[in-house]
Amino acid sequence: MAKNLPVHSPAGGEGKGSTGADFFVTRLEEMVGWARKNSLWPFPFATACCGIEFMSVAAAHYDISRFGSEVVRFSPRQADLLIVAGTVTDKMAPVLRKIYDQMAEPKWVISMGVCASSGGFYRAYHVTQGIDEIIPVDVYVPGCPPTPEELIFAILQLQKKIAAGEMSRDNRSARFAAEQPA
Amino acid sequence: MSGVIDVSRRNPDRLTLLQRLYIPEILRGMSVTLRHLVRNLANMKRLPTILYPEMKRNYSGRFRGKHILKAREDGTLKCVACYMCQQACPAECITIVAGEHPKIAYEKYPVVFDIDMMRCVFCGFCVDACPKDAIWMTRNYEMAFFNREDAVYSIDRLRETPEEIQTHGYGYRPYYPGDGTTPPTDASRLPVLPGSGERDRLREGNVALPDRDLGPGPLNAPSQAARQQAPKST
Amino acid sequence: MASRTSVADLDLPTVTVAPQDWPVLAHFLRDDPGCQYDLFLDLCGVDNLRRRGQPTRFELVVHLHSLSRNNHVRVRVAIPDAEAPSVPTVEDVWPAANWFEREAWDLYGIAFPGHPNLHRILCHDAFVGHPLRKDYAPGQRWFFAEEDLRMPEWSKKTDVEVDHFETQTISIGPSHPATHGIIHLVARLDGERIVRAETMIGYLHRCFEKMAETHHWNQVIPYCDRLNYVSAMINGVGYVRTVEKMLGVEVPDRGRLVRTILSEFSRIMDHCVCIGANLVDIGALTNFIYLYQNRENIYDLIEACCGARLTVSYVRVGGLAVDVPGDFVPRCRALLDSIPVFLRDVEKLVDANRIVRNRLSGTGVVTKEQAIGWGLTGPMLRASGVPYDVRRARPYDFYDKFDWDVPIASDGDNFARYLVRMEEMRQSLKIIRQALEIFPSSGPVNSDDWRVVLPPKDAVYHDMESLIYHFKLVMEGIRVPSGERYEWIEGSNGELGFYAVSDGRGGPYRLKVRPPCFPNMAAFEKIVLGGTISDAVATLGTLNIIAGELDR
Repeated sequence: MAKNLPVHSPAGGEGKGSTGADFFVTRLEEMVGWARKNSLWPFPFATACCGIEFMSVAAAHYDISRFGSEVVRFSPRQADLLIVAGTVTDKMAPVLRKIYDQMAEPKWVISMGVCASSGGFYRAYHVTQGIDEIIPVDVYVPGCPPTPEELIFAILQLQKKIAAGEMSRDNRSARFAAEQPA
Repeated sequence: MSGVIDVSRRNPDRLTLLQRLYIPEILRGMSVTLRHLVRNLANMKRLPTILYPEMKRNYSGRFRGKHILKAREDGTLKCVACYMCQQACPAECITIVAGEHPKIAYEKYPVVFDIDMMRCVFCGFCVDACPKDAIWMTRNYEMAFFNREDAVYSIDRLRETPEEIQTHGYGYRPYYPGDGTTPPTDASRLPVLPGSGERDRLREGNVALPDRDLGPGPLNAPSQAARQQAPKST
Repeated sequence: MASRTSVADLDLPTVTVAPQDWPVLAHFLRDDPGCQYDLFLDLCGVDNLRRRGQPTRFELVVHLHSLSRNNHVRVRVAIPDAEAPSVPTVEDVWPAANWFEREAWDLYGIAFPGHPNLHRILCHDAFVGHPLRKDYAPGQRWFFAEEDLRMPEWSKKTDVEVDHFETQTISIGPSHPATHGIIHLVARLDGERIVRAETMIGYLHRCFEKMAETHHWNQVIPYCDRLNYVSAMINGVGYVRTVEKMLGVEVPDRGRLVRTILSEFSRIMDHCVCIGANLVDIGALTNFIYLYQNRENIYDLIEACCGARLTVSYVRVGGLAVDVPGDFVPRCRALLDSIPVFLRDVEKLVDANRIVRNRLSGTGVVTKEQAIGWGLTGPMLRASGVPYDVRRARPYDFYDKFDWDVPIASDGDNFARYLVRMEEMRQSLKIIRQALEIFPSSGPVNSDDWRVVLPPKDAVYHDMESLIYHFKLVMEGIRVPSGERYEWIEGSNGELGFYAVSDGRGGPYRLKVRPPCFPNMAAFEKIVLGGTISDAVATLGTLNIIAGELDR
């Protein structure tokens, strides 16, 4: 069944014909999207002040486990959502890239705070001006630091993106699977 | 030594036998956690969890959220593109391009007023710096973008709308109701002075610039004392 | 507006010395019974390229403290050679100078012949140039790849040691759940024991000092918040006190009391995070949730005052940004009742718990002499038995009017630091209670000097002269007279000092933060020797390393 999956298929999308097989595939994608979006396990790549606000999100007042992130996984192999919280300096950039590469597909990236998204107000000699210099980002969250509600809002936006079927920016694995001989 | 407490004397190194047995300590600890659990279950209303997005935290009227540009009564922005907020901003996230307004009482207006939300650190310095009561902040924090270009807010997204204020409310602003500050005079209420169409006439043809008599008048910002006196008739 | 000159208004006594005489002077300052400057505070470079009236381009400014005589001193080493500046190292006199000298090399290019490990510490290893020099463009970046990272020499060789077993060198960090903030510890392990360790920092070097040089005096305040971001108010208070002393501006009592009250709440917040995170590393997860309740309740108060939870930007030079809300005192009193409840819960779970005792007692021991030699301050120093607290040694902002105690401990281990922090939180509550008693119900929070403080909005909207003052302050910044100043306060981790140099412009010419975490972290690699990795994790938790302050 996996080999028949099209690469991009928005939820409830156009089936190629009215055969029952295509309809079933689309519903499967919806279910997969639903399961994925409600069980995001974050990897909090917390470097600075946004890390403290992320800790607030994980604590009792906001409780990210309501959205399926009961555990924060500090191992990239076990996480699927990389939340880059805080400034990424040029010295830390290779580490971030390595962590991103070590994560398994499907993976998403939230850039939390203005420092991670654009360098913030640190237009300086040691600060990466936005982590999208290094890794692809799915959702950017402004704020310095963003309030915990803002981060949860961003997670909800990401959930919409996941439900729409965008597995990840780096969909080489999906294309590879699609190109395999049937 | 006066004023110094030695805390290590309060906690002996050696635990008592009962403490070393550990089971009584486990029960003591569990009594703490179970007490929290039972209290929370008995009265779900006192749970501290804020169930966003269904519940929202009631931030104060000083919250530093998304900016808004205030407007005069006739709908034009109060902003006169004086560049003070751009200068005060530590993140250099405000971009202003000034344009000349045909109405002399307004003088200038912002052709472009962009705030890059991806650079803004929400410090409120722009609100502190504005001399025209033109930029406030709201309690709106719900911003998340899928790409960086969407994060540059221009005048159409920054302009104050009643829906936004109804949903989110005002936040950090230059003065608060009841603190005795009188807001600046709304320039749209200023009388139309004779000769105020001269800018348009100047643009149309080769008209020599007349000598402008900068006598007393609202354009020259008289001090409080001068305003107490009877207004001169023009 | 008469300025009252007291001893606290005068700057520190300064000794100027040539580089070749500096080691001799250093020995004298430390050993002579009339001096006894045993606590090394700070060492920084200054580049006088754009400053008039200075004899040399580079100079080194050193701050020292004498614990027995309760006295600070400043030493200026004027370096004549501008092409290849070099100063003999004083690392043998004060071990704390080790990392400070590395930082001066990294940021200014001042060489220290005799230094055991003169490598870059804050900037990455592919960095070219010395960024805090005045001819270095603030935004000039260099590309850094993973293979450029300089690992210590000893980590590359394996040692065949006891019983022919090889020792293993691992990296703990920089992305690690137990490293709060991002710290890289390279450790050589013999089984589980650490036999050699070196810490590498700089993973959050956000160029605070260069940003301060390119901004106005008030615009530096948001950057200050992000230094020790768990107790952001305290950094801002320390910074504006330095500028106010340079200007000779007095803040009214109400403003100073608000600063004191919110600083103490910030201290409580910081200790909550420290203890919570420390216990999470050991495995006690519940306390984190309870202590974060404290934080959220204090956030409510701070957000009602200034509009932001974490990065407050509440202070301004000359006072505060806005006055406190009308219900400030009742809110504070409500917090005074709610915070001890959670502290008692944590104590019940932790104090007599055998596992916590086994993990924390007896590990990470720092003796009194070691603590002083390594330049530690704050709870680290007080847990080793030295009762040095800036709020008691050189009181500021009403601390001498209140009746409170300095907690110390004699063991110097991790559990002692935990106890000192818990007691400090209780003492902070005591201070806040007394501050609320004398809090004036009305009055200004800002100085009325309009050359420094923005005029009230009513005046700006209606009065031309106020508008001009407002315009000058916003566009040009505050004109601080030329000079230098070092002011220090008690941050949550220790002595937080700001050394500011002004050349008369609207912004700092040089701003050096004396970060309390910096010598604490330098001592870490010595404390963990001989212990296991689990002890190292527990020790790192009690050090309370905030990377924003460590790396600036």
